Amino acid sequence: MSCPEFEKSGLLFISGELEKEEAKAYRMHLRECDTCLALVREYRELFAKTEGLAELSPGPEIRERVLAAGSRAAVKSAAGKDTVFSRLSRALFPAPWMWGIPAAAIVVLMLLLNPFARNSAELDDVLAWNDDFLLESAMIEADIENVKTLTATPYLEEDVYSPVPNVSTLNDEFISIRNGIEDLLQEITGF
Amino acid sequence: MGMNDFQTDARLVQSYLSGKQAAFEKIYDRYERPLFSYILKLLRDRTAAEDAFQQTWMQAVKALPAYREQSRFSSWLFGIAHNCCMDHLRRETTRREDGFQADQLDRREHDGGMPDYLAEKNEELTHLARAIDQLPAEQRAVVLMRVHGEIPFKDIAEALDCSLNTVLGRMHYAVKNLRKLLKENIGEDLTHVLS
Repeated sequence: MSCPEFEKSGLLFISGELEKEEAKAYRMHLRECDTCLALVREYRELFAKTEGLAELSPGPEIRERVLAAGSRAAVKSAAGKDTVFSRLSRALFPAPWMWGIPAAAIVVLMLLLNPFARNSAELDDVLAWNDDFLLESAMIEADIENVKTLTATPYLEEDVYSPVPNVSTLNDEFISIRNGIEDLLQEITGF
Repeated sequence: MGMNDFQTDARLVQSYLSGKQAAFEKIYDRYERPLFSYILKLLRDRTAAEDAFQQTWMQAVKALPAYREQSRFSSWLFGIAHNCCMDHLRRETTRREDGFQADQLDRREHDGGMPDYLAEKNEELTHLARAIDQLPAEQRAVVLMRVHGEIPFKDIAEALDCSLNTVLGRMHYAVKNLRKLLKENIGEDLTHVLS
């Protein structure tokens, strides 16, 4: 008892794997084919019965072993995620020792450019400029004091010096500017 | 197993691959019994089945990062299990000197009495389990994958690496054989036994 239509479509129809149109066509065929109808019923009953078959478990120690293996792999997976950087690095440096090449290049570059030496020279320049500034400002301060003294002294005809009319204001502005520059230098040099 | 389970499988795999161990435990618990039942009833030997079962999971864990969702997880996992069973049989064949063949699944006899894995909750199911156990290995693989894995025939074809027509042909022959075996074993028609 068989039908070519059942051989072709019967099992897929029962398991719901036919496309919509194919299933519709086979359903139409079932109306006319008693053989197919009987087979579909028999197979369905068989599949329904097999659902009652017992399922078995391995020993509990196997569960522990498998879960431990899964755990180890999960840790590895989380630690070694395949990022764009890791893929690129694998492409550029397939062997671990190849990382030595860029490392050596960086060391050579640092020796040639010597950024620490350059920073040191810049610092020396700033400190020298600071010393000059302090010296100059001390001289200016002395000059201002002279002006103040002169303006406080009665005018003498033989004195050709013409005092600045508002020496006190000038002095205050100078001190303010000087303090600002000193603060700035302290920030740059750290002392 | 419904479509939601398949979608959940994919989500669990993604979750596990992002480092969540609990997701792996859920996947394992979902497939432990169906997968072990498939392997045990295919190999018909508990020790060998436990070895193949562990090997299946070890290979699955290793291959999971490469798993793609185009194929459903269950058929992917059962495919690995099937290959592990075949590997086991090949190793057995080379180890034995008495010409033990790769088709030993079809010829291995039970040592007497009924193996525990065929014990069912009632007589009808025990007859059915025994009849399935007597099927040729390639037919038994299709039936068991369908029964325990609830895998569609199209996916069974993928898991067994053969054509859909081959799988459908094996299933048809399996049902014909079951009908015959059940008649022989209990002297009744399959439809009567199952109804």
